[in-house]
Amino acid sequence: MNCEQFKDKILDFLYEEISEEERAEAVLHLKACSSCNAEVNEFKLVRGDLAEWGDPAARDFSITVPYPSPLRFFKQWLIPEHWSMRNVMALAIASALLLLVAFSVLGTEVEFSKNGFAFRADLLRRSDSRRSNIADLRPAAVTPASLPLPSPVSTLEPVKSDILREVTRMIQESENRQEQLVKSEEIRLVNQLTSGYRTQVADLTRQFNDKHKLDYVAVYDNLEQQRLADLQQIRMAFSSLDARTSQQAKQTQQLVDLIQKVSYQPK
Amino acid sequence: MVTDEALVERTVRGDTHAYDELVVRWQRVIYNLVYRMLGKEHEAEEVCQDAFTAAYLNLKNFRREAKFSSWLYRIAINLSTSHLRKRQRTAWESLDEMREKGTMADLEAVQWNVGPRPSIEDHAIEQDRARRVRSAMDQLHPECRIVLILKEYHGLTFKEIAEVLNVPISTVKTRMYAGLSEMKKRLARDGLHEA
Repeated sequence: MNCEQFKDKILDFLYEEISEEERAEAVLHLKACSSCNAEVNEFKLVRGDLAEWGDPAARDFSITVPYPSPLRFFKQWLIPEHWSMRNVMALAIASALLLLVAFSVLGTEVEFSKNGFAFRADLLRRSDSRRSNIADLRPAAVTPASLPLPSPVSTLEPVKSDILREVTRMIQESENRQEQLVKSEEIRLVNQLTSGYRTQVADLTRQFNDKHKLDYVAVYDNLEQQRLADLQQIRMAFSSLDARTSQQAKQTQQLVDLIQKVSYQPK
Repeated sequence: MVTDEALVERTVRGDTHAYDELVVRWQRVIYNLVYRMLGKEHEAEEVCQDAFTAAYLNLKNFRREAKFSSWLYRIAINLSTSHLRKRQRTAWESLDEMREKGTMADLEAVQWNVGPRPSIEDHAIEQDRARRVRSAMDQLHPECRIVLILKEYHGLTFKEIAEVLNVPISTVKTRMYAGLSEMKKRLARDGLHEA
C-alpha cells in the first residue's frame, strides 16, 4: 500500500470500517511512512478533542404531535389524497344514480305517508300491479283451493295415510298427556289453596285469641266474684233458715213435752 | 422490542400511541443532533418539535426501504440547515442595518460564520476544552459539521451517513476529511494542540 492508497483508506482505518487484510496493509504502511503516520495521529488527537464535547444536559421537554381527529383520519383514509372535491362529488352522484337504477330493476317500492316512509325491495318477484298500501302486502291466506292438486295416481297415498294415522295418534297421545298434566296441576293447586286457607284460618284464630285474651280473663274474674258472692248469700240464707228451723224444732219439742206431761198426769 | 418499522406501520394505520413510542425512543437522539447543529437549547427544542411533527405528517411518503431513523435524521438535518440559513440571513440583515447606521465599529462583534455563541453562563459552566471544541465545530461548514456530528457523536457508519444525507459515500468521506482537517487547524490555532 502506498501513500495515495492509504489516503483513500485513512478514514476507514481511523473509524475501523476496514477489512482485516486492508488494516494489516495499512499498519505496515504506517510503520514505513512517517507522514501518513503523523496525519493519523493528528486525526486521532482531533477525535480525542471532539470527545470532550459531551452530550448536552438532559432537559425535560415534551414533543406535542398535532394528531388529526378520528374523523379527519377516516376522511383521509376514505378519499385518496390526489382526488379533488370535483372527483368526490362525481363519484357520489354516480353512486346515487347506480343505486336508483338497481332499485328500479329489483322492483323496489317506497311509500311516503304521515307516519314516515316504507321501503320494500322484492328481489325475487315483480308485482304486476303496484300496490298502493304496503300493509296489503301481507302474504295471502293459504286455502285448500290455492294448494296444488295432487296427481290422480300417486304412489305415495299409502305412505301418506300411514303418516296421517301416526300423526293423529301422536296428537291424541299428546292431548291425553296434556289433559293429565292439567288435572294433576289442578289438584295440586286446590290442595295448595286449601292448605293455605287452613293456615290462614288458624292464624286468624290465633290472632283473635291473642287480641281478646285479656277480655276473657276480666270476664272470668267478674264471673268468679259474682259466683262467690252468690255462694255467700246462699250460705247466709241457709244459716238463717237453719236457725229458724232449730228454733221451731225446739218450740215443737217443748210443745210435745208439754203435751206429754199433760196427758200422763194421774187423775 | 417492537421495531421502528412496525411502529411506523401501526402509526400509518392510525395508532397514535405507536408514534408516541417512536417519539419517546428518538427524542433524545434527535435533540442531541439538532443541538449540536444549532447550539441553542430552545432553538433545538423547537426544531426537534418541528422534525417530529413533519415526520408524522409525511409518514405516508416514507419509503420502507430506508430505516426510519435515517429518514428522521434527514428531516431533522434539513430543518436544522434551514434554521441556520434563516439565522444567517437575519445576521446579514442586521449587518446591513449597522452599515447604514454607520456603526461599523461594532462589526468586530459580529462573527461572519454566524455560529451560535455560548452565553456567559455557558462560559462559566462548560469546560474550557469542550467550549473550544464546540466553538471550532460551530465555525465549520454545515455540510462538514453534520458529517462529523453523525460520525463522532451518533456512531453512524459512512454508509448510513450517505443514506441519511442522500449523497454518495465518497462525498461523505470527502466532507469528513475536510471537516477533520479544518478542525485540526482550528484547534491548533486555538492552542488546544500543536498544529
